[in-house]
Amino acid sequence: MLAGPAKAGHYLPQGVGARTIVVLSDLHMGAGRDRSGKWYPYEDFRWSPEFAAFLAAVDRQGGSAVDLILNGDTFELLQSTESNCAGAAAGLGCDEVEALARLERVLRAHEADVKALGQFARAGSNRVVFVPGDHDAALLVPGIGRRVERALAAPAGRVEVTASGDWSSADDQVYAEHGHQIGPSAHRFENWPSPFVRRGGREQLARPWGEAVIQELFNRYEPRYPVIDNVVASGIGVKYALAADSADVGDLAAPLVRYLLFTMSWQQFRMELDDGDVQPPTWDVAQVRAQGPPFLVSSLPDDDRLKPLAAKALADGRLAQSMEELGDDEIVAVCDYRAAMRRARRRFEPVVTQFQPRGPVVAECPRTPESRGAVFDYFWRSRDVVFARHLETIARRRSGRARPSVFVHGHTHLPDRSQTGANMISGGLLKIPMEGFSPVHGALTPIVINDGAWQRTITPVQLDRLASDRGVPEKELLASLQPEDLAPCYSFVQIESTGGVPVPAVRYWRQSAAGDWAIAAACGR
Amino acid sequence: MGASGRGSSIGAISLSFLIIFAAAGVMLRGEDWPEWRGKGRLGVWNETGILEKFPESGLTATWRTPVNAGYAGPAVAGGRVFVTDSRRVKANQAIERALALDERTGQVLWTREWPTNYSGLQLVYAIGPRATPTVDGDRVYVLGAMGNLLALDVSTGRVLWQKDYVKDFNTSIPSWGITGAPLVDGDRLICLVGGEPDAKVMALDKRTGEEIWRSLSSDTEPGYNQPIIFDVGGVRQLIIFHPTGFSSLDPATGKVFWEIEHRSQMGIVVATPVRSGPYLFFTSQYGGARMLRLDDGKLGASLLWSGPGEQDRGMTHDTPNTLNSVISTPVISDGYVYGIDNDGQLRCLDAATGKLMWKTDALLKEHAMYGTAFFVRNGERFFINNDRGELVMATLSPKGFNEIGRTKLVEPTHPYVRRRQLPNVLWSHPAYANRHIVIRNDEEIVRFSLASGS
Repeated sequence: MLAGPAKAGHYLPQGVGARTIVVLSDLHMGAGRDRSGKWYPYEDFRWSPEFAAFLAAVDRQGGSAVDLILNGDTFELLQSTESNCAGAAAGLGCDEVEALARLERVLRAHEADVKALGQFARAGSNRVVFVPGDHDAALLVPGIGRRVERALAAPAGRVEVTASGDWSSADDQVYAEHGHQIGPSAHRFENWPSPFVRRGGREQLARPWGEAVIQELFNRYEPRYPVIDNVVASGIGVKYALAADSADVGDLAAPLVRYLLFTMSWQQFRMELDDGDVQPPTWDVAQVRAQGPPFLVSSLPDDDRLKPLAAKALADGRLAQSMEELGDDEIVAVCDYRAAMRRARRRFEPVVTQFQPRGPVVAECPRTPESRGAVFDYFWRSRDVVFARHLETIARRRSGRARPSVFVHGHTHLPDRSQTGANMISGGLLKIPMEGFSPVHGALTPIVINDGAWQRTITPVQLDRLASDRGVPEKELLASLQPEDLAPCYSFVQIESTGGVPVPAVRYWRQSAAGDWAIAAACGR
Repeated sequence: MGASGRGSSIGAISLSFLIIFAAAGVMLRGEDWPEWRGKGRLGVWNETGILEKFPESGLTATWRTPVNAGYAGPAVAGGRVFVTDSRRVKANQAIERALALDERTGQVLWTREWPTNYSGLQLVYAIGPRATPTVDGDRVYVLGAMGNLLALDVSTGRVLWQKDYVKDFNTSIPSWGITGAPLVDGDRLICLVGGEPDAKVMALDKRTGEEIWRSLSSDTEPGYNQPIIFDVGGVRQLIIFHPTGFSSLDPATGKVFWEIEHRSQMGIVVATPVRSGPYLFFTSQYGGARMLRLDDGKLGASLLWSGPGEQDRGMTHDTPNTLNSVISTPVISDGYVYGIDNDGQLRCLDAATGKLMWKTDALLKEHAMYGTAFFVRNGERFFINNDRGELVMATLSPKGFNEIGRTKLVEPTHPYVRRRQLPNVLWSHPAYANRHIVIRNDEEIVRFSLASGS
């Protein structure tokens, strides 16, 4: 039986002095190999040797005074090769017994990785912190969290699973959480960090609606197309699988369209277009609503692999409810996305998104009369609103404590990159290069930074290029690619302290062409 | 005899008058500058009697008249100077304005204002109109940065008709605004509109503003170029340099004669195409250089040579290239191309091969990203306005840049985001008319005499 979170505020004595903070997420350690020694198709973490080498390098570089923050989804406790948990039929997750069984299996499968983490935790004054994510939310069950702490076999105080669902440095300057609770995420739990519901006398994990939609599809297609959940941003790979099989997903179509449209929009649309202090237009939300469900379909460019499915769902009358459920903020987010995609493609922006910068355009949403005029330059508005609100929520929750100047999250698998042109102050006369971004337009703090995933990933642009280079159809490529075929490069965030000010940067554990492993500023892909 | 003598006398007087009149005609023959880069958009100034060198004390201003901000260069025709400007009134709201000045005195004859909103423009550069007015007889066509097109009576400034590209043609204004100055061709006013559907270029009735034809898809941005017409083998071709490539259209119908695809990132195609004989040259920062060969015998063009642009793999703005001009329109003279690269260097290329003959920083006196200069040929010399507010007189040859003289005209006042020796730049093309240069910045418009003996 689950008892909900306990020991809230149980913090290790973190982040003081000249300690280095390293944040990584989304390892998704899963079921490992089958009896024949082959990886299960769902297994995404196949990187034990380089992970151990990475930990050794971080330890060396940080002088064994490192806070290693595993920022969510370290363990894959949602997707399983075993049968579903009993509550799945009712739209719920596992109970404690089921979740613990899954964890035990994962710990066995990743014995080497757990051992490496334990070794790291025992060195010098290193510490290891597990922040629960949406795929390992079960760590919030006290018994399960303690099981993980024990598994590393480190001295007391060296390993912690945070019951608060987040992590702060001792000086409160750095704050980390997985990221699934940010904004209108389809993976958001209602009562985080207590993501439980009681049904029939049993405490079970809740299951966010996006999770229910996407996990079933990944389960269905990943055995055939093993890299679809390595396509970033997270979730996008489903489109490729559906397009490859011309699949009809029935009633899943409507929530899927909504899910993927938002996946592509506010949170995961990576661009470097913010090159000027411009005033965004006001979208005429009433006019958009008057368009009805066709708005959802028209928001997808013609080359979007989701478009045929969306069009069919529209023809079948399945999108009406999705449209009605959209909030104004969500409509604005999609409109911002349309404007960004339109501008990028109408002027052949260089690779400013994870999507192809060339291709069919979409129409802008209608503007209010007073904001008609030039094209829309500042595409980050929706993202900024989401993060600013989230930071406010954090500040309220931590009343009386200093506001963090660095906020690290993951979840999307798509790391932020240095945006040299993204931060303009003094009316645009001065550009300040920085890693991550500030949701306060033109400001340098607070910094929000996405640690990506300690995974091998591929963007849609890279996938297209690979298909072109190999001269094979996309379906054939998807069926033939294994995670091991992707670039050996894993992202994380490293935070050093300069004069008491934390300075974060996305870094990569990367294998060079010569075969050497090193920490680098880019993947070089 | 007497009659004969009288006749001879009258004849002699008449002849004397004719000679004097003719001489005066030679001496006083003025030339207007009715549009972007002068008549025909060729950057050629044919007047004679121009000074050979600048006075050591600099040129004397004939007049100075205050104006507001803008990139739009002046046009001069019929004794009037036309220019456009803008002033901010609140946040991004601005009042754009057309002015007519007395060419001789600088006195403002009339003004015509219209409100606009620069929301969405890159604000550092959202200072005012870009397009040079186009004068056609009793009409002047002015264009604001957000696509307000007005046909005005040259005498009074009365609005004859007007169009709003956004409202009337469904244009999405690009980040750096609408820049293509309207081109008069017969009864047509040819405009780079970027409208939808399929109205990247439009011909309007110059008397009424009614649409005559529209051409080219707006699936890509319109770019920042100037329409220009060349006569090739007796066929008049409207050349449009846009972010998708080069299009040759029939000016009468908008029908596409030929097109060559050449995609340029960010929509940044600014430098006007230049032609000399069979050569037709295009250059841009991202797309690089393309020299086409025009064929008199058939309607078409072929690629003669190309130079890489910044968008090409492995290229940066420091990589060796041919000539990637950002703003500056190059010239072709005696088989050589001269122009300013995006690093501010003056370069000379062999027009036939693209081979770099030489390069120098001597014109701008600094190695500067987006360095810009405007070239105007006068006989064997070039008058070059650089973006430091200087006028440079020079000859250009494959042997090198030979500076004859240099004088400061006005202060550069346009804000600029990159570090330069001077805090601001001057990116307004001047007008050369009636042995004078008329130049503007964001504070004043000034006329200087360039006549011999000035």
